[in-house]
Amino acid sequence: MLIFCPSCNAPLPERFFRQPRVEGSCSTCGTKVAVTLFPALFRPAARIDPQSLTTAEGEATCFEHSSKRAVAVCNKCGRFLCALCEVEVAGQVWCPSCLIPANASGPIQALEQSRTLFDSIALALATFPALLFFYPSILTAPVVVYLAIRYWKRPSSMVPRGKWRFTVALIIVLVEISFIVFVIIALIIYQQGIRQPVAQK
Amino acid sequence: MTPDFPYVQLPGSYRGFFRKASLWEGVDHILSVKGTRFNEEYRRFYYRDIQAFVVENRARAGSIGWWIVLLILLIISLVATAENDPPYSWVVLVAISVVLVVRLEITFRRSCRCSIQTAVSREPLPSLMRRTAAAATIARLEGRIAAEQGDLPAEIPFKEEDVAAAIRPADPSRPSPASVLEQAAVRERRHSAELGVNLAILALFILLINSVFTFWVSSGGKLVSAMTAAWSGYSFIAVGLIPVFLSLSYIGGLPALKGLRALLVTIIVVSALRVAMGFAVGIITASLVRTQGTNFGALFGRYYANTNGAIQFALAAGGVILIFAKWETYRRGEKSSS
Repeated sequence: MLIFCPSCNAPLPERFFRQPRVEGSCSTCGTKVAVTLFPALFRPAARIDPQSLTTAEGEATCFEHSSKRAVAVCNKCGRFLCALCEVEVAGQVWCPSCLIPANASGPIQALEQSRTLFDSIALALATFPALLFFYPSILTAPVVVYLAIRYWKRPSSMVPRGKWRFTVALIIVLVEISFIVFVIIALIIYQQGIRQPVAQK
Repeated sequence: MTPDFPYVQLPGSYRGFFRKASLWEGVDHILSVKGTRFNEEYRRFYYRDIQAFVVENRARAGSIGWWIVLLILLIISLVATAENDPPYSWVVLVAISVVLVVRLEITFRRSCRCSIQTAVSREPLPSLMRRTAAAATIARLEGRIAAEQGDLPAEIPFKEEDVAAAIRPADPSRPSPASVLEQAAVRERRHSAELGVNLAILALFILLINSVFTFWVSSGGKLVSAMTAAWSGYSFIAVGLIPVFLSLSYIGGLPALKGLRALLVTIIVVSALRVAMGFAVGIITASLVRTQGTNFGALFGRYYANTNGAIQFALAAGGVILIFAKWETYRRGEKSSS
């Protein structure tokens, strides 16, 4: 049962453990600290009796470890599991043999550690050419369209996040492309306009 | 909160130019999100495992980028005030100085560093940089954690073995974390929907004024010059797009407001095309005036402006009808359960 000062990493003194909410100063560095405690801090560390793991005659054993007592059943494949093999994922018990291939084929949300935000990448690629007078948009526009089509349906973030970045990126790219097309058309008409009076003369 | 996104945001967030951090409340855990603009990393802390929150009072500057922007603005406004060009630039200088003083006050007197402790880790929570946000977050989470772990007594006994006996078990009549989270999500949804719809109404109002302005210019309303008229139109588009984007940011995650979202996206597309075409139409009109004569060029310009005004008017009127037809659903942020 220890809590450390975030500034000097020294253990906080005894008075911080006498009430659920305590404000005070670290006795080592004097930093003002507010601590909010919860019962888990005082929960004794779980001790497993090695004897309880071994099986008696007639008891179910773990699928992977035949000498260990089964304590759970895999929710996916139904195998008996010992305390070592039991893995809790999003309120369900899985065995490692089910968990590893399931996570490899498509990440399980409760286990995901990171995600790449392709919608932000597309938006950056769509807006970045504006800094260079839109010349790079000839290269970046196809990449934005590819990213939007390829990753439109894939969940972008684990927390609420709409598709507006993809939408805005596509709109900007549409504007960039239509601007280029219109400028080309306007230049052609302008060139014809210059030539025509000369031809009339 | 939806099945796809089972989280509600907790107070406090960090948004720099490159890095960001936020904290989210889930049914049985809190989710700490850290990352750059293009990547997010997640850490989960289950309510049953949380031992303590430690908040240290210390100065936190936040994103360095905002300080650089403020400094640049301050220098520009100082130079402008010294030369009195443009006039009244001292007003901007005063405003920037006030923002700077407020930011310094927050940095040095209202900031903190918060960390969360479990049996196996002690992790900083970078989103909780301000003391008010940290206090609000901890107050909101105390109930969830107590529902899982029980409550500590007001005076904690000295002996560890006595503490276990003194812990009050979780009250079974206390609403479950899932139901509390659902209620919070409903409140948040309603708040977002109300703000989003109000901003959409403002955007439609600006669009309506823009369409009237376009018709007025097209029917011979005299401004200083054609260039002034064009830039006034672009200013209208820019001002009108601000509430459109703000509204979309609020209603983005609400499936019940799909129709309004589609309308706002259409407004963005039309505005973008107007800007893109505006330049080209100017060149085409000038070219037509040169080749076909002044009348034909002016006719083309007027035809384009009238079409423009009609599209804006149709979008604004359609938006108003849509909002008032689905008023109850849009204000609530979800379809009626009855």
